[in-house]
This record gives sequence, structure tokens and C-alpha cells, in this order.
Amino acid sequence: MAQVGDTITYTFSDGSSVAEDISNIDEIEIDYVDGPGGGTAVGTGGAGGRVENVVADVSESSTLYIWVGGAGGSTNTRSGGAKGIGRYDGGDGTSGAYDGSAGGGGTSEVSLQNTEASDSATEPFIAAAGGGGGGDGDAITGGAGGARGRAISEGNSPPLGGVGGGGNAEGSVDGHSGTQATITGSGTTVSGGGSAAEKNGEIQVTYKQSVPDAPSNLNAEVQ
Amino acid sequence: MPSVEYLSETLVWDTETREYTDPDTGETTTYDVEVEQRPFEVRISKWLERDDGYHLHGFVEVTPFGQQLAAESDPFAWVTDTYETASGVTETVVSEWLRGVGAVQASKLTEILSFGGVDAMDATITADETWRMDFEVVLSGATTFDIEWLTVNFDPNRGGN
Repeated sequence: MAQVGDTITYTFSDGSSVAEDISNIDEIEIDYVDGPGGGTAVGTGGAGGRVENVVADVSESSTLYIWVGGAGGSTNTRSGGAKGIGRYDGGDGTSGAYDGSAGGGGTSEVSLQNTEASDSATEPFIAAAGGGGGGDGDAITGGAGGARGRAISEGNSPPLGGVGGGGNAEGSVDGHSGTQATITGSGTTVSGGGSAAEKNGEIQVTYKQSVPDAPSNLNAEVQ
Repeated sequence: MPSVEYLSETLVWDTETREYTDPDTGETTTYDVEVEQRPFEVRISKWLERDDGYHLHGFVEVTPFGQQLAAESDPFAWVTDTYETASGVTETVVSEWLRGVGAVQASKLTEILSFGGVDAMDATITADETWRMDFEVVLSGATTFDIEWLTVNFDPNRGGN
């Protein structure tokens, strides 16, 4: 269970979500969500995207789900590199006549629901960063990075999160909107600001408790 | 920049046959590639700093390859030496040893984990399934620890940018 004052760093393990008990938490500050890098082939994979400094009111929620995306697979053979896994997987690399292309990184994401990918259109994610694109092979573009992320704020369309390098530079799926959390600080996104090529993603979250409203008589004049 | 990195050692290579289709001619050929096989993996899913040190949460999981090995009635010839635990204990029957990893008891954890430079102040098993064991370990600082074939480098100072 996350405790007030904890700053937890989430690292890539197997692409599945970590369910964090936030029953005692009112507010979270997502220090950063780093998308993973793409794999490297002839060309170097692209860096993942980054979303940082997102603040959300989670007082009505009891569980936070965190996915940390894995880097795309590199290759130095004719075979394509494997896709990186994450909330949404990156694209597989492609076989080449001599040199295959590398896989794209998966998506890193923080959400209030452990939804299936098919529910992505309505998924209430809070922040997400796409994976980097895979490096080129011989005349073959690298695998696409995972879905591009956005930091959500109601009524706004913040910049896209992850943009990879390599052949197919950008993520294959746009970020999606909709959230159950009240985003009080929408944060910023940095294309290519996440993990470098061949590096897994990482997420850091600080757990907080809201400061209670001041008593109404606090400023009452002393009689 | 990740603060936990994994360095895998070469252990077993298997051969997989893959297909390649020439985009110009449409001709499909097959070729063999070497694929690394690992009987189990250790993963760190998160870490945080509290007053008593750095809490690392992770799990040991037996891979399908490892499960396949465990199902074998006879140990493989190559595993007798290779399957030495971190504390130097060698099991001659690999299937028993792998089952021990998959359904590990608390006492087994000290055999699986070996810490260099920093003492493990506490190590507890938080969940125990058939082929997976979740654990939490408390460290006093940056360290490197090994679980067979996989070295985990943990450095809290490398988090963030």
C-alpha cells in the first residue's frame, strides 16, 4: 500500500500492470512517465516520450494501475527485433535481406482502471508516454513505437507524448482521452525525452494527502 | 534513465527456424537463428525509499522453458554444474531445484539472492504462486545482486533524468 509521502519508482518487469493501493491517498504527483526506447538495428532506435509533473486528485479511487513499457528488441541479423511490451505494445521489427529492423518500444502509462486494450477509447488514463520507434534495417523501416501518450487535462489537448526515432518514427496509435481523475496539473510532455534506445521505461509517482481546508473560524477576531 | 538494469548471461541457446520472404521476388526461405533460453527470471517492479532503507519489490518467475525442464524426469547433462545456487549449493536434480524456485519457501530466498556490498536487512515473500514468487527486500543503498543468469544493478541515484 502506498503511504503518504512515498515516492515510488516503477521499473519495467514483464509489461503487466502494478496495482497500487491508494486507499489512503488523496492526490498523486506523477513526477515523470518515461516511455521506453526502440531497439537498434542498422539505425539507432528512437527515445521514448516523456510526460512529467502531472498532478491528479485520486481521493475517490482506491487503486492506481501502472504499466512500464519495455524497450524494443535490437537485432544484428536478418531477423526483425521483437516488439517491446507495455500498456500497448510496440511494433515488431521486420526481416531484411541482410539486416532486419528493430522493434519499437511499448507504452508506459498510469491509469485508474485495469482495462483491456479493446477499451482504450474510454480508458481513464492519467498520463502515458509512447515508446520509441525501432531502428532501420537495410532499407526497411523499424518497428513503430507504442501508442503516443498525452497528459490529460479537461478541455485541452496537450502535446503528444512519445515520438520515436528510427524508421517508423512515431507511435502507431494516437493517445486517447477521457479520465475519471481530476487533473489539477496537466504537466508537460517531451517528445523523445524518455528512455534512450534499448532502455526500458520508468515511472515515478509521489503520493500525497490533501491539506484540509482551514477551519472557518481560524481568522476570527479575538473578542 | 532506468535505475534498475538487468545483465543477462549467456546460458542456453536454442535454435529456432524462421522464415524470410524476399520483398522483390516473393520467394520464401527459411533460416535458423539462435535464441537465448532462460529457465527463470527475476524482475524488480518498483522501489521506494523509507526510513529503514530502500524497499525493492520484485518477483522470481519460472519461464515456460524452466517449466519444461522441471517436467523432465531426468536432469539434463549440462545442468548439474550450471544450476548452482548463489550460495554455492548445487542441486543434482534440477527439476527439484526448479520446483523449489517456483514454489519457494522463505528459507529458499537466501539461496536465490546474493548481495554484494550491501547487506539485505530484510527479505520477505509477499506472494507465492506455483511458478512465481513475489518478494520485498530492504537494502541500505545501491547494490548489485544476482539470481542465476541474471544480474540486477540497482542504483537509486540513477532515477529520473
